[in-house]
Amino acid sequence: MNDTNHAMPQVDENLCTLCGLCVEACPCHAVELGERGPIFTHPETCCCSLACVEHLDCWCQCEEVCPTGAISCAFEIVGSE
Amino acid sequence: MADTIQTLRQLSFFAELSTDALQQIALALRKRTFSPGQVIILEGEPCQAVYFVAQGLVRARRMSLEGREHVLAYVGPGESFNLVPAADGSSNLTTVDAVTEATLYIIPCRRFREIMRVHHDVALAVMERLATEVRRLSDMVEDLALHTVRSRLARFLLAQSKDRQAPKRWTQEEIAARIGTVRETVGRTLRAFAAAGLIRRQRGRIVVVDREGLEREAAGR
Repeated sequence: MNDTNHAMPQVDENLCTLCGLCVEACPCHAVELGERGPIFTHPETCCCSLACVEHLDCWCQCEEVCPTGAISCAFEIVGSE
Repeated sequence: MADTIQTLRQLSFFAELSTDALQQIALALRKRTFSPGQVIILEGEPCQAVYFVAQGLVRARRMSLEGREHVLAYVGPGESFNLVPAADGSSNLTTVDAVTEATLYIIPCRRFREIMRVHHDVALAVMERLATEVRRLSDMVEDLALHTVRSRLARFLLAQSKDRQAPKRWTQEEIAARIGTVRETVGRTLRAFAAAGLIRRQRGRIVVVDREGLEREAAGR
């Protein structure tokens, strides 16, 4: 697993109910709904990803709207450089 | 045996202990590695052992009947857990699970108490650890009782942004469990801090951009 993948939102497919709210909420259009849960297909637009070039500052709305807590976006906390 | 003693001396708890005490400890301990997410001990179960982290990171947490959890501590190399039940013979205070792959030295409670009776330097090391723990938990009680969630989150962000020892990636759920609130509140407050220009989210990071402003939030001003 490389750094880019590591930084992507993590999905617990056991919790996902396939409601699709994450797909609707994502302003970066980084996520699609697969057969077993959301799939983050566009790391270059996902603000969780180290590969993101969009900088939309979306605050992981996919995680916010998920009613079952199936999506978690992890981030490092750093001082300004 | 000599190798084990040498390895133990590199961990802070054992660094100042006598060779006699370390020999007894080396004879009593076993080493075990846990996978990320694996539960090491369960809250409320009888205390079986004292644990010292050789490598990796574990977390100690308590959970309410409704399933809300509060993380009391992350425990890293050289640190210990389960000293309290080992000292008073009660049940485990917390559930502890591995955050990363974690290698632990494990000493059965009964054996550890026997060693403390004979080797007073071990008993003193335990007292020092427990005193540190009382101070840390007193600070945590103050934090929970006297500061708002906004202030606690600001303090958490400031502390993490300064800590270069163990870079860690945090989810909102984990932060909520650490500062005693729920995920939704963490998300809402982070957005409020961003709107106020205190922090910025960027490429898998939260960047503290206005440290003084965040310090004012931490102080409740």
